[in-house]
Order: sequence, then structure tokens, then C-alpha cells
Amino acid sequence: MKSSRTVQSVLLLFGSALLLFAGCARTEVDEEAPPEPVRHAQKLRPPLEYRAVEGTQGALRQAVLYSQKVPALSTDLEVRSMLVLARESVLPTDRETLVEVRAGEVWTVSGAERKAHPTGDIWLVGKGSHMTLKAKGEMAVVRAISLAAKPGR
Amino acid sequence: MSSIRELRGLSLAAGFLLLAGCRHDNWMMYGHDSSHSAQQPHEKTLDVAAAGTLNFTSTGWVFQSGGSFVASPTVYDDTVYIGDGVTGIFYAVHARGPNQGKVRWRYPPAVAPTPADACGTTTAPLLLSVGSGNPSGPGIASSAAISDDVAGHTAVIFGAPDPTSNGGDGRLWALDAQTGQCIWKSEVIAPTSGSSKIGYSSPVIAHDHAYLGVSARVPDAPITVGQLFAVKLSDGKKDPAIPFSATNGPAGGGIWSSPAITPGGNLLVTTGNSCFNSDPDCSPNVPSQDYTMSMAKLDWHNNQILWQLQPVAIQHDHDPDYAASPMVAKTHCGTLAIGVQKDGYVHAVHVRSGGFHSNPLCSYAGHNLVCPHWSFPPAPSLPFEDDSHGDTRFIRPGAVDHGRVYITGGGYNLTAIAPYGGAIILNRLYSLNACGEDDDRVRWIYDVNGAGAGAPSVANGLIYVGADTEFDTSATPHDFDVLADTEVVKATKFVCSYPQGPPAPIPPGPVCSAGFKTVPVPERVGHLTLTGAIPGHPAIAEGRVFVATTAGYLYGLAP
Repeated sequence: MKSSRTVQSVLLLFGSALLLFAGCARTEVDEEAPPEPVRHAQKLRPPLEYRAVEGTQGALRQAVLYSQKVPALSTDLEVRSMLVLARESVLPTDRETLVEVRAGEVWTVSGAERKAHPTGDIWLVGKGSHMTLKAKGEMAVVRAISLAAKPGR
Repeated sequence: MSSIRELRGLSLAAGFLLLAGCRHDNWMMYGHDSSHSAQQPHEKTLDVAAAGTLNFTSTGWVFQSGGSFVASPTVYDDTVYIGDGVTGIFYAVHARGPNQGKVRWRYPPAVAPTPADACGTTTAPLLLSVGSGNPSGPGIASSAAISDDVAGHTAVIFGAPDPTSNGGDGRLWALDAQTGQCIWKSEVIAPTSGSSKIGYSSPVIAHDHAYLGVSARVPDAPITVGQLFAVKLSDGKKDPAIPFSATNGPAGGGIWSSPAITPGGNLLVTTGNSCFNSDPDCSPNVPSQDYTMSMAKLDWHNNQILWQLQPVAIQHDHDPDYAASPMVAKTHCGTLAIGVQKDGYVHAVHVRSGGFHSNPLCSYAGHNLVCPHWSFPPAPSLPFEDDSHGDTRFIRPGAVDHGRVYITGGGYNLTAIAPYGGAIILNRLYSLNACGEDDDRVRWIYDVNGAGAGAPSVANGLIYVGADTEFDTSATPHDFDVLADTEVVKATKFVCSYPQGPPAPIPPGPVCSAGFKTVPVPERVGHLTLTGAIPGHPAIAEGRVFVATTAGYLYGLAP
């Protein structure tokens, strides 16, 4: 009788441990996945080559995305992507430029005015004006669209 | 007869144990559990009626630290545990009872132990003495985890600087949950002689180890190599078999988040950006081992990569960290790993079983990546290779309740043309259908009244979320809302799934064009004004809600 009780107790303990474990068991089965959705292969473009803007010690770098002569206007259209770091740098203003924040947030200082530009902000920078840029976080990206008069026009 | 009674007893005990095996009414770690679901599955007291009576003035309480809480509270055995990000003091606060809201113990203690304990505890707060950057320092930004198997103790474990070690070497600390006595401090994980620290990364407990990551000591100045460490719970020693580095060369891939555990026991990590574009002096070459800006599954035996999702190609890295922790969602369409990247895209990947997985359709040179099961907003092809994926501050993780995801992401606004809806909206909480088609992804939309939305939590069909203002540690009022999922309370307001700015009430009906749909706005069933921003997950435990703010207020909200 005593041995039967002992066997029962051992079984009870063993069963309890098993159930306790089962309640929390991790299973590889739960990681199985259905087939992936259909996707189209994409042809990747070559990466952009960003070059430091002169006088900014690398705090402002740019890559030309698009450059095209516009004969009707006798101008060159240029679209650039600019990387802005968290150090102040002077924006080149040799031509009128439309600036759009593509990623991150940018502080600008123009004269006495200091302004924050979040992603999506668009503004015009006049030729010859003085404007400094600085990423509010660690890095920001702006797109600069310029119409430049052809030399000698 | 006796044996029948015994069998009945055994059956009852068996049922209880089967349930008890996983039952935790507590909130044991960051995001509630190792899946980081931020869901309390056992909450039954807080229903719509009770949530509307939550307060801190009569039945509830408030505690002020005098510093700032950027970590989220952890709750165990009627005690709330949280470290202060500014003062470097770790608190255990009574969650209920006659002493509710009062300090049960603090670490370091006001008086140093004599004789000295195993950790060489002094009264110096756990602060980094030099250079810490954003709210990830100088004190304790890591949320605590509870383990009942630490050298015979139930312990509370968190990452923090050691003031007695080179001005704040980063270590894991294991304190006795009842007394606050130090059981061990781990070997150094983030030495001050290097460029890393334990920031927001919170330990996750599995396999008798505590896992956590390191990130840049001063954010991206310089970027550090992201690493994941495993510390043995028995003695606080690092397990040399499980180091994971996000790169094998140039810095990158800081782990700002808390790793999660998959159902099979494997590790899920998210990593930060590379130095490819952020540092002019960084090598222009792509590291041969590039796990930056990724969500990745690691084999827990050896930390080998089992799959990697890197939605933005490294050449287009404009700082779209995965800053938020990943979460694991068990759904009827499989188990998904879900996370939001700083650019605002939410990606969901099937966790998958077996060995290494990749798909050439989402890979590129030098990278073997997987495709997500879905992305929100939809991403027809990956990796991204445009310049709009950057530091856009979608940094708060979500919550998940089976197939219902609650998260702040960029939504359709991300793909709109500025300025018509192209603005980044950080205060918009989405409920997403994890198993739906792209057209049916959005379940509902709710705009939190504030600059941003904090990390939500969910229990009993109710969603708890606070307003967040990043970098704000002032004592300004912030909203705290309780929302009823639309399956719990039928919505009466509706918006377009692409609201183009703040949603305006519109009647239900086919008023959305261009493929967007009319979706409900969930009913707000509870509301409080709390002091300070609320970046972290509220902790829900045994009929109460615990909320920490960056103004150093810890609230115990009771119905």
C-alpha cells in the first residue's frame, strides 16, 4: 500500500512537471510559414556617389540625380540629393534653388531667422542669399532643384 | 471510490498546472513578455466601464522620482520596478495596499551595505559620468526583467552604468526583487573606453540567459558596432558562445532595442544604421557582414543569422534605424515578426522554421535577405533605393493581440507627395490587420492628442496609449487614453484610411477614393491628463495600469 502511494506521488510529480513545462513549451512548429507572396524582381540602380560640398568638411555632401538642358528657357535643370549632418554648413546659393526635406529634419539659419523644417517641407532659397543647414537629428536628406542660367547668356 | 476522487483531484490539478505553466498576471519585462506583444492576456477586471474610472487621486497613486523615466515599468508581486534615466536610481515601488506609491527599496541604497556585498555596492547612483547624448543616458534607460532563477533568488535585472567602474562601464545588474540587495553585476558589456553603452536595450530572459544589446554612447557620434550579449543568469558572466556583431568591420547596427524571443526559442533583433553615409570618414565599402538597419532572426544556440530583412539598401542609408523593438505575433496566418523602422514603414516577416532563409527578389549584391510578408504602407519591391528613408523618428514599438496590431507608423502619408499629406505624422496610432490583404490592412486610425504617440499596450480589447514629446522632460501635461478596439465597442466615427492630415469625422460610406477605404475611429473610453511625456509601454497587471513619464512621474492607475 505504501509503495503504491509512493509510485502515485512520483507519477503525480512527473506529470505535474510535464504539464508545467507543456504550458510554456516553445515549439519550432509555431515558426513554420506559408508560401511567400508573389513579388516582381527589381533591377537595382547603381548607388549614388555623394561628394563633399566645398568648404563644408563633409557636413554637406551631394549627388546629382538629374541634369538636363532646357533649351526653351536657356537654362540647365539640375536635381541634387544632399546629405546633411548635425554640423552647420553653408548651403551653396550660386543659383535659385527649391529645397525639399526628404528624410529627417533640418534646422536652417538665414539672417536672424532660425527655422525647423520637417520631412516634406519645401522652400525657395534665393540666389546669393546666405543660409546654413544642420540636421536636427543625426542626419537628414534634402533634395535641391535648381534652374541655372547658361554661362554667357 | 477513493481512486475516482483521486483522479478528479489529479485532473483538476493537471488543468491548473497546464494553465499556470504560462500564466503571469504580472508584467514581467519590457513589452510584457519575451515576444514583446505588450499584451496582458490575463486581464479581466479592466473592462470598458472600469477603464473609464482609472485614476491616481483616490484609489490609485502617483510617485515622483525627481528625475525622468524613459524606461517602461515592470510589475511583479505587487511591486513596480523602474530605473530613472537622469538620477540613476532604480526604484521598487509598492503597487497596491496601504503603502501603495511608496518606495519599497531603491538601488543604490541610501547607506552602503556593511560588510560590502558581492557587487561592491556604494551609494553612488548608476550614472555615466561623461558623454551620453539623448535620453538613452546618462542614467537607466533599460527596462527591467524579472527572473525567478537567479542564484536562488527572484531577481530584477536591468542594464545600467557602473559608477565604480571607469566612470560608468555598462553592465547588467541582478537585484533581489524583495530586498533590493545586489546578487551580481555582470561582466562589463559596454566599456567606457569604447564607443558603446547600454541605452534603451532591455534584457529579455530565455535559456537561463539575459540577452541585451548595445548602441552608440553618444548617438551616432561616433556610430558603434551593434552587439548582442548573452549573460548567464547563474553568475552574471558573459556567454562567450553567443556574441553577435552587426558588422565585421566598419561601425554600424547599434542595438537600441530589446531583443525578442520566437516560439522556437530563437532571437529576434533590430539594428540601427551603418556609417556608410553618416560619417564622411567611413569606408565607402560595404562590410562583408552587414546586418545594419535590419530585423534579423538568430539561432539561439550560436547566434548565427537565420534570416535578415534589410528594407533599405546600405548605399541609401540615411539613418533609418530600426530603433523600436521587434514583436512576435502568433496569428491564424502564422507567426510574424513585426517592427517599425524609423522611416515609418512597418514590415512583417514570417518567423519561419528550419535553417537559413533568403529570397533573391529582396536581396542585392553582398546581401541574402528575406522579403516581408507585408509592409505598411505597401512596398511593391525591396530593397528601397531612394533618398526618403531616414531619421524620421518612428521609434516607438507597437502592441499585438493575435492578428490585431497596434502601432504608430507612417501610413499612406509616407508615399504621398509633399506638402499634400506628405507630412510625417507621429501621433497617429494604427490598428493593422496582420493577416489581411494590403487593401484591408488598416483596421482603424486614432490620432493621439500630442506631438507623438507613445508605445501602446493592450488588454481585454482595450488599448492604453500616452502622448509623447520626444526629448521633453518638462512637467507639461500629456494625454493618456484608453481606447476600445472596434470589436469591443462599435465605432461611431469614421475616416479615410489615408486621412491627409488630421482625420475629420465623416459619415460611413464610400467616401474614399483612389483605393483607400473608410475605416473607423475607435471610441475613447478612458482619459487622464498626466504630467510629462509618455514614451513607454504602460504596464497592465492585476486590474491596474502603471505609467511612467519623462517628467519623473510614476502613476499607479486604479479603477
